[in-house]
Amino acid sequence: MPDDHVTSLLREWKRGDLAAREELMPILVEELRHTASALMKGERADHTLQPTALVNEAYLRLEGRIREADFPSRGHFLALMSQAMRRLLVDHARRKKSEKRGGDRARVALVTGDALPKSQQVGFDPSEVIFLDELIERLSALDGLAADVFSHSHFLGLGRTEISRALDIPLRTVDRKLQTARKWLGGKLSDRTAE
Amino acid sequence: MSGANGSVERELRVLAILDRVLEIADGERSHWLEENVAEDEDVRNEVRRLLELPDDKRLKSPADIAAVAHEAGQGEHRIGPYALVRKIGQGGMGQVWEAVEVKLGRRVALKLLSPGRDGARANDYFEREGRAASRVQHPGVVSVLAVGEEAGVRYIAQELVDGQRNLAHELDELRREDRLPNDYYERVAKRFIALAEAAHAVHEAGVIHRDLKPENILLTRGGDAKITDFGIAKIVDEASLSRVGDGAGTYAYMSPEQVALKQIPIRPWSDVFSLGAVLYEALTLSRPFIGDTPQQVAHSILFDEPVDPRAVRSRVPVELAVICAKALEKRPEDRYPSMADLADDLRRFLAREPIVARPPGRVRRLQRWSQRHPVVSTSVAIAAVALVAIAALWTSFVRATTEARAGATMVKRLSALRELDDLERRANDLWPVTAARERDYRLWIDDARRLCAWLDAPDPVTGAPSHRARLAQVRSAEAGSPAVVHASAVPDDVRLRDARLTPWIEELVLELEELGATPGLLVDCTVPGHGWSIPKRQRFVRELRALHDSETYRSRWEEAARRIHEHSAYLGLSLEPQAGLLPIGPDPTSGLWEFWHFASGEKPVRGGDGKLHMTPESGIVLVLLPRGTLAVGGRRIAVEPFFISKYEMTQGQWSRFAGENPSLYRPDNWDPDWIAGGRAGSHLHPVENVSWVDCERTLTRLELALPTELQWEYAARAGTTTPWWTGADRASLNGVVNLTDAYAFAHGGDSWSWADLELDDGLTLHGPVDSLVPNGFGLFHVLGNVWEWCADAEEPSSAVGELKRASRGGSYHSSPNTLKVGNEDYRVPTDDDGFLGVRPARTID
Repeated sequence: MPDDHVTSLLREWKRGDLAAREELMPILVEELRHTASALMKGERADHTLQPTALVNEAYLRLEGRIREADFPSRGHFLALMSQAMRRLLVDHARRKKSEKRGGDRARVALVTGDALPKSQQVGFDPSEVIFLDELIERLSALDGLAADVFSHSHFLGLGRTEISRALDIPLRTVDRKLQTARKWLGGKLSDRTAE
Repeated sequence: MSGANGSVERELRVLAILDRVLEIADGERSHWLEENVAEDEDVRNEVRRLLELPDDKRLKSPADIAAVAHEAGQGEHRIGPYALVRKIGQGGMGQVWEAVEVKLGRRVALKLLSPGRDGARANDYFEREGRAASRVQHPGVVSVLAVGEEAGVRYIAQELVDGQRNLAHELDELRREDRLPNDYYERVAKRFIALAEAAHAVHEAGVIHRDLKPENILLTRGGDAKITDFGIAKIVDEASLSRVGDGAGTYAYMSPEQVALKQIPIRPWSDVFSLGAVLYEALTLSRPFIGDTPQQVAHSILFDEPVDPRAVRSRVPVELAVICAKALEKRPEDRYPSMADLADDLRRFLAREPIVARPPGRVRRLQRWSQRHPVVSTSVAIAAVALVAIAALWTSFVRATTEARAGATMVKRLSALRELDDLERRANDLWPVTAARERDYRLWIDDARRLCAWLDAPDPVTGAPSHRARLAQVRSAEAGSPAVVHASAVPDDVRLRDARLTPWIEELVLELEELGATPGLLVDCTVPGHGWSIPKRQRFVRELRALHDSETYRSRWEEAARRIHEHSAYLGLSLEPQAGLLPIGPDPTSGLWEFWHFASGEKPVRGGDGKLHMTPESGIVLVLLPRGTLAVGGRRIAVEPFFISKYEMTQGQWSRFAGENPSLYRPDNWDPDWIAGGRAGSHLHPVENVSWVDCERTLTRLELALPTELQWEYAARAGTTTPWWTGADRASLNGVVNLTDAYAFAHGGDSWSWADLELDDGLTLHGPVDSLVPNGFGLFHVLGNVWEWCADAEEPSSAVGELKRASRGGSYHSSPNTLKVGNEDYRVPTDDDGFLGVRPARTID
């Protein structure tokens, strides 16, 4: 990934160029994947990798270019990263789904599960990950702030104080929007399970 | 019914109502929906369904990226020409990976430096040390293959030593053995011959290692030793050192001249000393110089003769003990002049020939004890922890003799930066303030003044120009036109070096200026981020001594001890005078004895009614609680007597001590919107917006502590067993506890929408710590006002990261339900907020 290219994409994205975002996103996703791999290589199988750790590490790797692109705040970077993390998870889920021809749940658990301890198998299964992604897309059309707050919490693993800082909104709003998003998404997810 | 088919309008409406109804207290939501969404049953039912739906835990926790990472971890990843295989080491600022150089197919150890905050400095060492090591090619030295950068990550590729075992690992294993192998000492001698020869090769190449220690001696599978880490390990160690505040190990193998930062150039003899220290440890399995703090270790290196190895392990051959002693001589010129000489003497021992080193005679040893060592002066010794890294900057310049003197002066000058760091670290260690530290404060001030003296005056020994003068010099050299530079015939490398040094000297001048100006650590004042400066602590020690020596103190304690002993509530407790506390008599209502905490503010005065009159200037009042029991989960647990603060810690007490008031709601930013009803703020309000970590640190410095949850609940209940100490009925809280009530709702607006409108305490935010009504032990605001941090951590779970810490008692923003005495709330220890405060406690000495 050529440095100057990324820097200029970051700069264009900052100026509101959506095409730059589209071009930037796969690069950032690859950067996250690469970082995740680097972080996991030296670790025991039972090591839990938190989204926060991953994003922090990715930040360190990109710091130079972010600085060069003259980002006004870490909040801008986090907004970008939360999208990249979402994309990373969806890409992975899509791959898993196609690998397993239809996303047979039991087999996914078997394949991804043998090297992973039980405590980590608590997330969504691949088809749910894709569904959640669609839900968030919908939520951001209805209540953009709720979608952002939730994404910061879920995909970046940020705490309420950090979210309040990153999005520059009061803590109370963070708490409320987070609850709203969770209730709404929870409802949609349970509808789907019931169907 | 399925929400998935809803129209956009309906979805928007559901979300908007959900958003609104979540602000309302649980119990009132249904009613609110009936009233406000009366016309649209469909939407109302959907919102109600969402509210009643059990939480999906997966939405509450961070996304599970384990599988993604696992998958990614199986792919191939590269840095430059190297493919990473697995991580074999991790330090504060970097990582070490096993990697494959793809083109050549050879395996290497790849050291990565993550770009961090100190990026520029670290990069500088990284590069220089990489270059230094690459100059040495010797089988006993781990060879550097390449130095480079990829995507902002700096790396050094070096020979991979199989197994990644080092001498420290081996020594640890040997320490666990019952006995050493029969030929152990011969093997040690052989290994150290090889090591000394390798180190000699390093010296011949013009490089001084400066950081020889067991961790930097790698062992191959065949047991051969290889020297590594020309500075990289140090960067890593230093970063982790400043983080955990303990680095005794790092200094344990350093030579006296490195520790003392003397102007003596660092020469091979410094490495001889370090290798001697490692040899000592190999012989005895213990370090020659030990201590709990870097200062202690430094002191020991400078002044202590190590214990004779044969006194530690009698089987150590006398020759090896003597060779070791010669390598560890304090004066460089008394040691082996080179690594080759050390190797020769070890070889003579193996060949059973007489060795060159002579054991120090009895007379010489006595002399040495009686005289202060010529190399060092006490103040330097205490102050100095070596600036090996900056000295490294000089490696390439020092070889030219004309430059050597200037180089040494510059090393000394820049080492002041390191000494400044050290001063700051020492200042943070010199807590709590006790008479025993008086000498430390004096030494600290001496050291700081000595450092500051060079700011404006030339160095008294060498006459080298002051820092300010030097800064002006290098700046003008930098600004000078090429012609001028050419005329003065300054060599290129010197100009280059000066240019690189300007920011360092600027930083030095700036930091020294800050040290000596208000608020700085060298001025009698309170420094934000540090608390009391050293002169202020020094003055306080004098005041504390005066208090302890006073007649009042003696007589008050005599009387207090007698009356407490006789007091039925205290069950015959015998209390010795407690340092820093002065008895101020019993509370007229509870009858419990109260004490003024001298360090935290002025003495609270008792009025004619016997009640304390608190002001923003008042110090902490500790109440002595008697022995008792507390029912916890159906069992009765005994609680020993302890002290707990009558009030929540005030903003005045905190800021007098810490130099800053972290509170969100404080007198200087008290928003008029918040004080409707004529309630003003003051420093008598509780300090808030403090994290558990802040509280723990501040209280420890004040010789106080966070209460345990057991202590807190015992204190808060004061013998009651009802849900609130005020009674079993919600109404009993009325006007007694500061919570979210009618007044808050009337004046605080939206964010108090769940207020209990039947209650009224007359406060919106927190109130003065002595307002409203105390509990049976005479403690104010145990419930409400602000949450109070406790010492306890939550039960460890599988979750990664720091354990959460308990907070108790609720706040002005809590509902009656939250405020029940038995409730707790666990929070991240670094979390702070405008409703989080602290009530100090203290055990009985």
